Amino acid sequence: MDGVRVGKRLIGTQSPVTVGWENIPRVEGGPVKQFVFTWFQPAVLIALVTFWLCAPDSIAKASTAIGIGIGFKALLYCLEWVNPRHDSWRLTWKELVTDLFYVGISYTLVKYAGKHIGSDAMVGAIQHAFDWEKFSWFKEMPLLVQAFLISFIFDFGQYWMHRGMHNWYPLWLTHSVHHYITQLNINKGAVGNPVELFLIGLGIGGFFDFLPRAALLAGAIGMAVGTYQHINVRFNTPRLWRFLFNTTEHHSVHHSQDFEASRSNYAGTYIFIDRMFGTCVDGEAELLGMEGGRRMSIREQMTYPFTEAWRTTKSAVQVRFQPTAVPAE
Amino acid sequence: MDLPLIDRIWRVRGSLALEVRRTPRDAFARLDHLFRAVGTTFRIDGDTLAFSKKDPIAQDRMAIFNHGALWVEDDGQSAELRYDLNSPTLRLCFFLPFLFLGIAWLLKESRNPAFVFAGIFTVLYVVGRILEPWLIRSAFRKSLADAESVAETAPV
Repeated sequence: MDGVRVGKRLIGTQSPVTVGWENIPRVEGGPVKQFVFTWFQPAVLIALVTFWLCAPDSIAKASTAIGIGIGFKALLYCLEWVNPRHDSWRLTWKELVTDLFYVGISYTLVKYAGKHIGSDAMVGAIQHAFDWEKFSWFKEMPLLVQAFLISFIFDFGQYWMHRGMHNWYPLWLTHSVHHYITQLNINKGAVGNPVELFLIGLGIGGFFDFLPRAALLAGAIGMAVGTYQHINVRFNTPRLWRFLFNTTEHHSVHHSQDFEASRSNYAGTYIFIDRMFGTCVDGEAELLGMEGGRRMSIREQMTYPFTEAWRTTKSAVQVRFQPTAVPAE
Repeated sequence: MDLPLIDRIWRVRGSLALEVRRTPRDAFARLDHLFRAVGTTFRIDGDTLAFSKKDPIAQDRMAIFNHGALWVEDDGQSAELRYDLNSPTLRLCFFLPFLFLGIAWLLKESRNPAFVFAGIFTVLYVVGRILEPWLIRSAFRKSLADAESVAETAPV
């Protein structure tokens, strides 16, 4: 495969990657279907932002956000069923079971770890040591600006954590497991080794809990944009949306079997962060995964970072202390 | 280990009565495409086909089974395809509710998510235990019924 040059890199030399929006297939069907799958993403974002800006305090609370999140996910399941991006990504019973296992672990064990030794614990310590008077300027900004800054700061941190995972071997060991997924659907964001799920959750999002409305609004923006990363739905994503936000097209490139393509599109919500740092590749891919698309079992996903670390360490020690003998001339 | 009652949790057994008698070789030839999948190996020994799978891809129609056997029984009057399939995914799904109940007991705070997932996996197991045997029986039936009519016996 020749690949396509994007900046200094050749994308798609190892596995097919479609580069450029003009080469990506459009939604097939009548005008109603075209309209729905063109404007669904912006309409949901606008609706959610309007809701969290205008809703009275009596309903603008975390339990409402959880309810909206569950309903939104159910709706996205329907969209995946009606208009899949690729038939090879269709949800099966086995995929649903394995995906929900990881979702369950995220909502229980990983969340518990985050609360006691992760972000929540660190944020709590910082909040106690913080001089709140120095932070009053933030509270005086418009609510939408506060929410954008909260989500941007969080995503900026995630961008560098994610990029670090692709560039520093110890972090890659934990993240590599997530790259063995061979299809995208709305639960795939949770599939990975729990250590990685803990690390990727590290951030200062919880730091803004003292601004509950702005924090909820930021969460809604993240949900209304970030959820589409792993979705199996064919959209005619509007030009402005795909310039600013991460999309399933971008993220499929990131999960491509092509090594160079996988080293792109690191942001979770705001793809313009990738544009700022030269790591954005506009396009899509269908063939995903590692080792030619080998599907990794749950057991292997749980142990892989540790067995690989042991294997690599052992190999390095052997090389260090048992160098290959060089025959005398 | 033979666990005839307990192993119904994760094993799928069933049969398809072939109205037109066929040799095992002919029957297995019609099912061949189901075993030409990534990570699948199979061996035909007389009237029995034994297969095993390692890391099957998502769209493999037999992805939930890691090994099993199919054989043709012919009593001289009629022929019947019988199968015995082993599914670690069904076994996993059966035990997941217990795992999440254990997590609820262990964490002793914010237990509701663990209870919710225990419920989800209970429902998923029931759905999967009915759906997946039906799907695989359907796949066998369609493959074998290509040029003949096939009467069926429900899987157990």
